[in-house]
Amino acid sequence: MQQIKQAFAMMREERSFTAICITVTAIAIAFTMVMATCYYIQIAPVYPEVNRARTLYMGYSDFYSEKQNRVVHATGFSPKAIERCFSQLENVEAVAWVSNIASQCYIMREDMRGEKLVWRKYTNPDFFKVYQFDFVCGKPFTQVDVDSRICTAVISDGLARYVFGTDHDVVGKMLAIDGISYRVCGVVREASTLTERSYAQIYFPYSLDRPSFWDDEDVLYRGGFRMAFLVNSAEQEAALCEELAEHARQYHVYMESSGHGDWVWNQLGYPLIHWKSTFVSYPFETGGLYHVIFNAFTLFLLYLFVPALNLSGMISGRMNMRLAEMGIRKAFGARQGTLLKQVVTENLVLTTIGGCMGLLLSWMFIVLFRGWVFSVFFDSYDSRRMVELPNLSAEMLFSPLLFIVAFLFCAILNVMAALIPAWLSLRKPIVASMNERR
Amino acid sequence: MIIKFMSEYIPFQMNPGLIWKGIWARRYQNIWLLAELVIVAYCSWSVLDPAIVFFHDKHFVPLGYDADRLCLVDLGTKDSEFPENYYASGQMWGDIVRVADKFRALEEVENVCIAEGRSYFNGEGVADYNVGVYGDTQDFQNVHGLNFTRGTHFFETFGIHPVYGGLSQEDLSKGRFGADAVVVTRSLAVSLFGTEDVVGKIMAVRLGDDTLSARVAGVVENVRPFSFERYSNVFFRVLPDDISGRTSDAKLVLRLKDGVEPSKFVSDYRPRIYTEFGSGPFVARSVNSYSFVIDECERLMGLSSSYHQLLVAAAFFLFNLCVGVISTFWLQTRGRAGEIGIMRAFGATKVRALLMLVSEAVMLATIGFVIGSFAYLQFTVDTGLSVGYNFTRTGHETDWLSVYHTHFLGVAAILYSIIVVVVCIGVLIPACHMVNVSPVDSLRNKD
Repeated sequence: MQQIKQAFAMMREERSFTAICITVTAIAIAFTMVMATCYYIQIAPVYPEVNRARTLYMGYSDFYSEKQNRVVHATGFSPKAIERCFSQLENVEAVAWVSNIASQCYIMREDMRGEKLVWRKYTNPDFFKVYQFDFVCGKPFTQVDVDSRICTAVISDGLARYVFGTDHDVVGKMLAIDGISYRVCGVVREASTLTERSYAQIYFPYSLDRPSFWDDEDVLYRGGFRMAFLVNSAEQEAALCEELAEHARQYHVYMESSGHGDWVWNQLGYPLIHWKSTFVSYPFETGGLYHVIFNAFTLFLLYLFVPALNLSGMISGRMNMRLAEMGIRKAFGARQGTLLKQVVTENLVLTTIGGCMGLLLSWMFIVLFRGWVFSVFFDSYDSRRMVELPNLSAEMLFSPLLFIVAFLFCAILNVMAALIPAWLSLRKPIVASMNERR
Repeated sequence: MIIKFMSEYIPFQMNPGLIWKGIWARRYQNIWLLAELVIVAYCSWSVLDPAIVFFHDKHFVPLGYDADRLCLVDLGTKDSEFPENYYASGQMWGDIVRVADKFRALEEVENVCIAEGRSYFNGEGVADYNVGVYGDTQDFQNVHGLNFTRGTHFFETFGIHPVYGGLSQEDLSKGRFGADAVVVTRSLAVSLFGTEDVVGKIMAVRLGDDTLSARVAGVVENVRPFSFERYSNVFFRVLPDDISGRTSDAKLVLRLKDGVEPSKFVSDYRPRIYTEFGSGPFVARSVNSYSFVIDECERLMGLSSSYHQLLVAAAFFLFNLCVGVISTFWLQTRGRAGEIGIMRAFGATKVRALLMLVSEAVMLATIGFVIGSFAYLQFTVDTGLSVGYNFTRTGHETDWLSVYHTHFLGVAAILYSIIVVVVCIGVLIPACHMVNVSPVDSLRNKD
C-alpha cells in the first residue's frame, strides 16, 4: 500500500513522464486487445455458437487411389456419405450438416415494395441443436419436412421485420424467393456475421439445395456438405474420432468390394474441435496448427515488446535521476530486492492505468470502426464474403477472460519494461549513486 | 585528412565525429532507443516488404485492359424452374443476348461482352492450365486460361490489342480461327517458344491425363487476369458453338464510351436495371464499376485484409518508434538545456541547435537501420524477399522487384526514408522545446 501511495505521489510530481508512459501503454494494450478480442470472438462461446468447446468440424478430406495414382481433394461430403457414415454415428449428441457454399438469394418484401439480398444456409434439423438459436416464435423444420422436400424455412428476426414488418406471428406466412414460395416455420434471433459457421438470415432444409446435392461418381463420398458434431465430453470426442476412423476403414472395404476402386479416405486430422479449426491456415493441412498458434503468440509478444523498449528507455532515464534517492535508501539499509520491488510496483500502477485506458480505447475502436477492424483482423473466406456491418453483442466485448488477458498483457509489459533498467541502475554502489550528478 | 575535410566543409553541428561523441556521451539512454530502432527496422522489413510489393503490383503494373472504362452487370433469374427445352432450344441464350442488346443500346455504352461462366478478368472463370510446346514432354508450365464465347465482342470490350497474326480485335472476338486454336499473350509466346511471333505454332495443353494440341492463331498484348499478380502467362480459347451447352451463369461486361464515368453510370442506372433490363426470366440484378469488381476479388482472396494487416502493423511499430524518440529526447531536455544554452550564448542560432539534435537522431536511426537491415538480409539470403502473389511466373521478369539486389536496395531506401522521417518528427517535438528556452534561463538552471 505504501508503495502504491508512493507511486501516485511520483505520478503527480512527474506529470510529463506519467503522461507519456500511460499513452505508450494505452496504445500498446489497445492494439493487442483489439487483436485479442478478434481471436476471442472466433474462439469463445458466443451466441448462437455457445457450444464451441464441444463442437467439432469436418469438411475437408483427401481420397487416394494407389492403383489409379490419383488424389481427389474434397471440400465437402455427399448425401451418400451422410447416409452411410455421418447419420450412423453413435458417439455424438447431434450432427449438423451444412451446404459448404455460403450463398445469397433475393427476398421480396410482403408488400412487394423492394427486395433484399440475404445469406442462406441449407442444413438439417440438428443444426438447431448444435447451435443454440433463440426462437422468437415457431420451431425448426423437422426431418419429415426434409425428407418430403417441403418448402419451409427458418428466418432471422431482422429478415422477418424487413419482409413482414414484425418478427412475431409470422409462422405460417409465405416468402417468395426466386419465384418459389416458402412457408416460415420459425423465427430466430439473428446471429452476428462474425459467427460465420452459423450465420445466415434464412435456413432451408438441405434437401432443397440441388447444387450441393451431388455424389461424386468416383469416390462417392465427395459432395457439397460440411459436418458439425456436438459431443458431450472429451471422452466422447475421442470415441467419435475412433468411430470415424473405423468408418474410413469400412469405406475402403466397401469401395473395393463394390468395384469402385481401391479408394482410401484420408481424413486429414479431422474432425477438429472449434478452436483448433480456427487456427488452421490451409484446410488441407492441419498439421501445422501449433506453428500457427506459436506465430500468433510471437506476434502478440512482439506487439508488447516494442512499446516495452520505449518504456525501458524512459524508466532507465528516470532511474538515473533517482540514483541519489536510491543511494540514500540503500545507505539506510534498504535491500536491493525491496527497491526493485518498489520500482516494479510503481510501474505496475502506471501500466495498469494505461492498460485500463487501452482497454476502453480498444472497445471504442472496435465499436466505431468494426467494419474495418473485422475486415482486417478477422480473416476467413466465409467472413470475407459477408459485407454487412458485423453486429456486436456485450458478451463479445465484456468478458472476464478478456479482462484477465488485458491485465496479463499489462503485467508482461511491466515486467519487460521495468525489470532490466531498474536492476541495472540499482547495481551501482551507494557512494557512486550519491555522487552521481543529475 | 578526413577530419580536416569534415571540419572545413561540413557545418559544425552536422560534423559526424561530433555527433557520434554526443551519442556516445548519452549511450546509456540511447541504447534503448537504438535497440528499438534495430527491432523496428527488422520488423518493418518483414511487414513493409510484402506491402510494398503488393502496392507496386497493384498500382504500377498495367492491367493490359481498359478497366477504368468497364462495368459489370450481374444477371439473375426470376424463376428457378424453366420451360422444357429452355436451354437446348437456345431460348436461354437468346434472352441473355436480348438483355445485352438493351445495354448496348444505351448512349453511354460503347460495347457489351457476355462473359459466360464468369470468364472475365478477376472473375471466378479464370482457370489454370498446364501448357507446353507440343512434342516437348518436359517443359510444362502453369498458365491462366480464359474462355470466351464467339461473337460476344470479348477483345473489343476489354480493349485487348492484337500484336501478331493479322487479325483485328473484331476478328479475334468472332473466333475466326476455329475452336482448336488459341490466342496467346506476348509473355506466353516468349515463355514457350522464345519469340513473340508464334502464329501457327502448336501449343500443348494438359487436361487430366490427356494432352491436347492448340494452334496459336494470334498474339495479343500482355494482360493480367488477376490484378494482384504481377506477371501472368495467359491464353484465350473460344468456346464451342453448341448453344445447348451454354450456361445461364453469365455476366455482362459493359465498355463505356470515352468520358463516361463508371461511378456515375452505376449510380444512374442501378435503381433502374432490375425493372428495365430484363428478357424472359433473366433480369439484371446489379451493376458495379470494374474497380469495385477488382477490389471485391482482392477482398475475397484475403489480399486486402493481409495488406491492411501489414500496414497496421507497420504503423504500430513506427508510431512506437516516434514515441520512443520523443520520450528519449524529452528526458534529455533538462540535461542538455545547458549545453544548448552555451551554444546559443556563443552565437548558434535555434536552427543550428535543432540541426544538431536532429543529426544525432538521424545518425542513431541510420545505425539502427543498418543493423536491422543486415539482420534481415541474413534471414532473406535463404528465404528470399517477397515476390508477391504469382501463380504463373514467366521466369523472364526483369523489373527492379524481381532482381534481388535492386529489390533489397530499393525497399531499403523506402524504409530508411520512412524511418528517418518518423525519427525527425519524433525529435523535433522535444527539440523545439529545448531550443526555445533562453540561454540565460538554461544556464541558470544548469546543474
